[in-house]
Amino acid sequence: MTLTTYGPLLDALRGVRWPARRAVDAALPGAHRNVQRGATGEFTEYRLYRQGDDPRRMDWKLLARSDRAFVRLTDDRTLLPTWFVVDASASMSFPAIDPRHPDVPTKWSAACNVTVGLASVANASGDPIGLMTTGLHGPVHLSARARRGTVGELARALERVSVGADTALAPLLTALPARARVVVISDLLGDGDAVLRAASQRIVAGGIVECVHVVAREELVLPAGTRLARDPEARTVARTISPEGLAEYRARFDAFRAVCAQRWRAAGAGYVEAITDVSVPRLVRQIVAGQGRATSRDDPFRDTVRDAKGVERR
Amino acid sequence: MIALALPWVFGLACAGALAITALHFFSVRRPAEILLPTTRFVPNRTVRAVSRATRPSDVLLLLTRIAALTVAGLAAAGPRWRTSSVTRLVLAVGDRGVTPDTIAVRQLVMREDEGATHAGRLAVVMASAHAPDEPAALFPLAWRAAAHQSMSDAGIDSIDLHIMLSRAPAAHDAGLGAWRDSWPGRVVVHHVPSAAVRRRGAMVVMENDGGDAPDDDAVQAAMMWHAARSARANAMDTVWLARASGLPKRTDAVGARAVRVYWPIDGVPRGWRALAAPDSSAALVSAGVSLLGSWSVTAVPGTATSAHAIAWWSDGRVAATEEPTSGGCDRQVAVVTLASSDALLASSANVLFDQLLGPCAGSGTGEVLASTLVERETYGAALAAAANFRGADTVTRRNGVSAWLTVLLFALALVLLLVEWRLRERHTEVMG
Repeated sequence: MTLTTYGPLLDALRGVRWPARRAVDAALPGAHRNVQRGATGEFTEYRLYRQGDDPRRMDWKLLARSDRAFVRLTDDRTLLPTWFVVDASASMSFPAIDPRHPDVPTKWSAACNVTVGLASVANASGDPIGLMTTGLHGPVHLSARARRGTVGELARALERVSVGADTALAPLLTALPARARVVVISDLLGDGDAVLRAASQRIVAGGIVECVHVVAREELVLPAGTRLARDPEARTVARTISPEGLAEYRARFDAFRAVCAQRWRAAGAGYVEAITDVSVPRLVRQIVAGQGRATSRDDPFRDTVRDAKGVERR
Repeated sequence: MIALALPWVFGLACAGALAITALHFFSVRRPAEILLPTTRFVPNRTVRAVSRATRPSDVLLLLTRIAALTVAGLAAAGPRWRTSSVTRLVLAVGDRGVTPDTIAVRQLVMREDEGATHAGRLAVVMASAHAPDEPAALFPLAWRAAAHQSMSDAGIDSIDLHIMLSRAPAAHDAGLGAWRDSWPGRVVVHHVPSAAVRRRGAMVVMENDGGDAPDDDAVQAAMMWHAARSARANAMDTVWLARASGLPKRTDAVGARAVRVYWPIDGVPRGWRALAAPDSSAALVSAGVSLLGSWSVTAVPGTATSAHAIAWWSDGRVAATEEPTSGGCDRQVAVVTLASSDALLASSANVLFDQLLGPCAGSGTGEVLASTLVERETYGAALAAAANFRGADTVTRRNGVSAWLTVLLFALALVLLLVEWRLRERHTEVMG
């Protein structure tokens, strides 16, 4: 997949901005609100003068009218480095690419689309973007940069990644700068708990974490008939799928996703579920708008299961 | 090519493989396998199979089991590595009254039974130690020869026995009857009268050797004399004689199937190692007959492996060798003679020159048979099975089995069983 392939996606996201969900503690000027109040021209509010304030920031006209000393407060704007931590474990290559239907999206292709889309939005605001992922041949690291062409570099780096690594994702989060915005794009089937702990520590330290939970449509609606399911990341784990067990499977999987959403949000992170066949621009807009789990709510197949005869019903 | 000492054991293994295949088709069908990352959410429950497999579902496991069983059966069946495709052994046994000549017997068998030389191999065992009036003693010899041949070559399936008698078979019916009945197959008795045996002649041609040989060469004269002595039949073989020191280049006139005798004047044929000082020997021995004289030993053979000795000095050192070529043979003689010597004309030298002038590969002295004088009687129809003789000698039987092949096959079967165990283990893990 090349940048040309991402062309329609980048066109659809032109003009979209991705503000930080809270004030950012950073030095370089940028598009996000800084926790520091400065003396720029964008007025925010008045505050009573306290000893030690700079007298030059006092509003003398207001002092003349009200006989009370106020200082003018303004917001500073700063840059927000955005890092994408993409899961490239074996489970992300689901469903397997069928030569007869090459257009069926996999979880990895959906993750790449979301990553490139979010990266283009962040980069459009001048934010540096970086990439950390776990390829089959070792970790892939792309330093955060804001220059032109960084989105293309990120897309090419993702293209070179061989999916199937069994490396844990959590250590990657600890290696990132503390004040950056980190977007975790994963199916959370690997070291999900460790990733959540690492994300919680980042949030406590003042970081911003967004979680994009990638779910394949084929995981929601299993094929009809009896199958022997094998976990691609633990080949010895195998279970038999039978029509009688589809409902129970769906219930367990829904419970897992609900728990994931609840725990990530409780930790202070953003959480969005990305189903593979959902429109990526729409998904990116929901993420940048801070709408948690919008896709699941809008999922028309949310309560769909197959009965014993393989017929879908709600 | 692998031959088996106990084919029924291999048959049992094949039957077992068929049974395994049948059981495989009778087994329940294994569901199709898919890779699902969310396998952990699938409830772990028992699924009851409702149909049998119409196609092999686990081909690798099935093939591994079949291969393991077949290879183990092959190893247990006493495999032997067979280098030839011989399936039929023609065994010719003759008494002392019949001149032991392979060419004559081969011609006789070819004429009597054309299929024998196409499908089988001819092995001749001559009973020169037995008197003509004791033909019944040939059968124990035939038994031993049949057992030895069938044990040494596992490819032999049947044995065709030809008894060569110098007297009329009718005269020996009483003595041969019991033995013929005990022989587990067909017996062909030939009466070969002495008048039917004629010696094949030889014509000696002196090869151009660049003038090294003197005009009155004693060796050349002896060769021609002995050739003339034996030339009593119309059939003639050409023997080329070279007296040069080395191996002269074979001329176009000398065919590839010719017999060449290299008898260098200095007694050191090419490829032989000349002695630093000539040694002396009192006798030159060939085919058990000694030619006495005051001989000078000048060389010993080199390291050529394909040559075999046809004459020795009295102390055991080799004096002459024969090396097969493509269809013919080269004979090298390391005997030094004086130009004026007549030692080679003695009657005790007849055997040596019969060896030098005869056909290649020790196939006899070149006698031919007058076929019209040979009478033949056949007892029985089916050939004797070689299996009848393999059980007679357990020592030979053990030696007949290729031990390395048995070990190799057992090792292969063990490896296949380990692979099968691993596959089954994985299958068990999956189903668990």
